Amino acid sequence: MNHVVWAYSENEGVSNEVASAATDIVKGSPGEVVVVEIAQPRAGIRAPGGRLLLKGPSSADSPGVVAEALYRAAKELQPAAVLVGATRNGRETASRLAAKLRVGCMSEIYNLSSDGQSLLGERNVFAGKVVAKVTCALPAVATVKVGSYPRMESAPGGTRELDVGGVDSPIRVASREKKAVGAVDLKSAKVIVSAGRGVKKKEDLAMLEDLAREMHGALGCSRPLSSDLGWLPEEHHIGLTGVSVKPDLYLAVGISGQLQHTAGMKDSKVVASINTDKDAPMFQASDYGIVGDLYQVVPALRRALSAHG
Amino acid sequence: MAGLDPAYAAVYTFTVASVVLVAYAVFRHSRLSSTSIGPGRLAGLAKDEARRFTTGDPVFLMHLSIALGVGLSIANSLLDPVIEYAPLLRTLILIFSVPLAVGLAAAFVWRVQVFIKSKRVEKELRSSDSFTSASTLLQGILILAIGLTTSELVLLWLPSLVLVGGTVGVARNLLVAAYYSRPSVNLIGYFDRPVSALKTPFSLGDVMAGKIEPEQVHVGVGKISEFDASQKLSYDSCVEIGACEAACPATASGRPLSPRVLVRKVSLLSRTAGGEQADPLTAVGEDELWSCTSCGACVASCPVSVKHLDLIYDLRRSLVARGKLDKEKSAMLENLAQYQNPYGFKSSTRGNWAEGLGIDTLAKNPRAEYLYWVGCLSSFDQRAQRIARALSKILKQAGVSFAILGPEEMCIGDPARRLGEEGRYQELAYQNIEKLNSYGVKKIIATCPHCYNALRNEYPEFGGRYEVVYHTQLISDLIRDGRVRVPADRIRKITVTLHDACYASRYNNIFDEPRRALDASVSEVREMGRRKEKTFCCGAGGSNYWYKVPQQRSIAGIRTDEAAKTGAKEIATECPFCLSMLDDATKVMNTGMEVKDVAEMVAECLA
Ligand SMILES: Cc1cc2nc3c(=O)[nH]c(=O)nc-3n(C[C@H](O)[C@H](O)[C@H](O)COP(=O)(O)OP(=O)(O)OC[C@H]3O[C@@H](n4cnc5c(N)ncnc54)[C@H](O)[C@@H]3O)c2cc1C
Ligand code: SF4
Ligand code: SF4
Repeated sequence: MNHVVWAYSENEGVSNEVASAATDIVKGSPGEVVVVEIAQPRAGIRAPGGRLLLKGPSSADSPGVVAEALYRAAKELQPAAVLVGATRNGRETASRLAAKLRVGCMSEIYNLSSDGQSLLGERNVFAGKVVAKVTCALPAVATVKVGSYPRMESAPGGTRELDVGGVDSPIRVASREKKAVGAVDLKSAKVIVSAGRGVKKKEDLAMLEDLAREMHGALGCSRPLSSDLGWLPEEHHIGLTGVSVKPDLYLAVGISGQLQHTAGMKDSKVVASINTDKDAPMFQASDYGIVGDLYQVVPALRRALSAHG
Repeated sequence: MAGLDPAYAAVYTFTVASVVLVAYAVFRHSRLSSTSIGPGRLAGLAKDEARRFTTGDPVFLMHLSIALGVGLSIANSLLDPVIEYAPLLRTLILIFSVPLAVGLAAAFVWRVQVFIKSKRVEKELRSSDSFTSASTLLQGILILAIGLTTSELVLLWLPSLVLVGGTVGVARNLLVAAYYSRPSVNLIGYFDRPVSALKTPFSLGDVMAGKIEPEQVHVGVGKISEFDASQKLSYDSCVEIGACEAACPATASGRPLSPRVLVRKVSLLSRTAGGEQADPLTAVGEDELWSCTSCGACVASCPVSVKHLDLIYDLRRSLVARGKLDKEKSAMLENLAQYQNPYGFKSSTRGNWAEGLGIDTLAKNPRAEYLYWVGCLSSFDQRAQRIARALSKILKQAGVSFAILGPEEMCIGDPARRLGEEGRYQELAYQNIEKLNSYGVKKIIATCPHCYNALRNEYPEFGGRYEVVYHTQLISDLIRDGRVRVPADRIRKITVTLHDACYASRYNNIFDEPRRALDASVSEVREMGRRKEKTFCCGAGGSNYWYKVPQQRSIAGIRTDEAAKTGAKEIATECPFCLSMLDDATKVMNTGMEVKDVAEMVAECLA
């Protein structure tokens, strides 16, 4: 084992974050950070300490293939630690790699450091309410929490190639398709405008869609609007049997606030609601409430928003 | 006697031989499955059948006709040589044969109709051809056996055709020996195993006490050979009677599950070459297992006591052990682990519903006579909280001393157990029991039948023994004893219908008490066809409340339709989950009906 730390992610931006994490560990001596690439070098990769291009696999599509390639290379070059970006694929890659190498794997880590014997770091537990300090003896594998490090800026250093031989994968990528338009990503939306049965007609949803767009947010709804009335596709429905969301702002419009709904949005940072019924349970789950008719309040809100640019 | 007619002698010899064969087959299966079928069991069964006879359930009467018809014709055929010396007996046999023949004929017609329906279900479930033909064969044999027995009873009246009758009897006896000895053993052995009985796969207590190593804990069933002898007997006893399928809400809603098909698939798999080593999940689908609401209608309706639910739980445990959980299910389990309730609300807010009502926690008043176990839904859901408030109002008026645990209460664990996460269930159970025992709790009131069922039937196994009373029972007692008085002018003039909760009625035989409470508080109660222990599920049980399954229509919708047909203006419920499901369905369907708990209906009448 030497003191070299490897960084890898199938996503270019994340790879540059992981490179920063690796640089933190080796306390700024960039010569000890190696960014690993598989099959093809990528243009956007920043690797001040140089990169290691693993030849042999035909692509980096499958975590199984990546893990095997990393494993073969690591057996030969003995890095002290392998850091992988904690993306969906990265999590799988890292766990497979750690199992192959028979070393420990820490997941979703930030604030990484090393005392030469172990890898130290922190991770969020209990839905982010508690921070756990974790440690793992070197050599080790870890996934780095996405978004917890700045992206490495400096230009790439030299490239070294290593042939690890072909890796067979049972998985073939048949085709790639873009997500259907209209599909919402409520989970990552910072602002959600959510429509309930207080909305009288399907056509009126357009008004709320506009409001959501003006607030740079996404449109969600209570279950009756998707499952029972079919006004919106299923993936818009928030709650116990739908998606759970935690945006910075949740604006509930004409939603009564049954537990089955609030169970899916209770972790939102700020909750505001509009309802004609001052006793609606939704108000109890809200930081701000407007008692009023959404058909008056929403247009007023939009006017106010546009006035403020 | 037909003298020494050689043909008669031959038929009689075959008759005796075939009866011996039946007896041998029954004996053999009882040995193979170590099932006791002694006189005590038989007497118990007879008593139970007599009890069910008085319920007048037509399907049961048909099955009784089949059983008694077979018994009568066997007795008659054995007695035939001497029957002319006992004219009174002969007359009795003839008299008895009439209602039985009518019952059998009805069963024949009913069976044919069940057969047609079953083929429709198999088509919807896209059953394999081999399954469909195996099923057709077995149902054909059942219809044949019914037909043979019916004609035998008719032939009793035609002494000149005694040889024909005898031959028919021999054929039928051979069918009984080959196909119906196993179900008979299963029925005698397990008729009284309650619907609520659930196999505990391991005990966390034993693991914690070091009695067994964690590695020895085995969850779920990965191979057919891992079912115990009584389970195998149970699944192999299915003779495609189809009563379960007819009763099953999952089948009725067009979900990918029929309890009949499920059990038969596993039984057929076990009989293939190498079947003992086969993984049941190769024959059973995930959604098939998640479709079950654990309502128990299948188990309760099976005339030969097949226990479908044991199978469903074992296979769900296998799914959980293999991590086959989608987001909704794993989120629920995670919430249970982190927050001790399936919704993910903070435990500290559990008692908030009681604020300002002057209700003590046990911490404050450990000497309260009753602990009111509120349950998660009534703690957190604003609609269901009204049940808790209504009950509290009634108890206060009656001067009953009670307290709640407040923030110290945790989920009873039922959602985890029914999902197949036994470990998490037992973690919660042990913690709850420790808490209850530390307060020395003796009597508990529950307003949720799932909590009630766990406290009453499941917790004793883990060391929690309490006197548990259901709120409808207590309310009806308080009314009877005059401790709760509804003045005549406050009885609401309204027609309601009662939706029995499966876990109260079918699981725990509580159905007269809520009716008494309603009689005292509303002017008219109209009954639905499916009621009391034959109730039809609301669709929430078996953890179904927390996830979606593909279906053609909702179970709650079917039930709401049935309730609307009574013409009632309000639906009375006795389970917070039923309330939530039916409330949602009535709104979606715009029936204009209101849904309220029995406790709310009573409390409304109090000053
Ligand atoms: C097992 C189960 C699971 C469920 N899962 C979910 C889930 O995941 N997500 C979910 O959302 N629901 C779920 N539900 C349904 C849930 O119980 C509620 O029925 C639903 O959330 C109510 O939707 P709503 O608030 O839009 O409608 P309603 O309850 O009808 O409320 C409409 C609200 O709009 C207000 N209003 C009316 N007109 C106006 C106006 N002009 N301006 C402003 N306000 C107005 C009313 O005062 C009222 O408060 C589930 C139910 C069950 C039984
Ligand atoms: S328990 Fe109920 S839902 Fe489940 S299989 Fe039996 S009848 Fe169907
Ligand atoms: S929720 Fe109500 S009807 Fe449904 S399974 Fe439970 S008790 Fe039965």
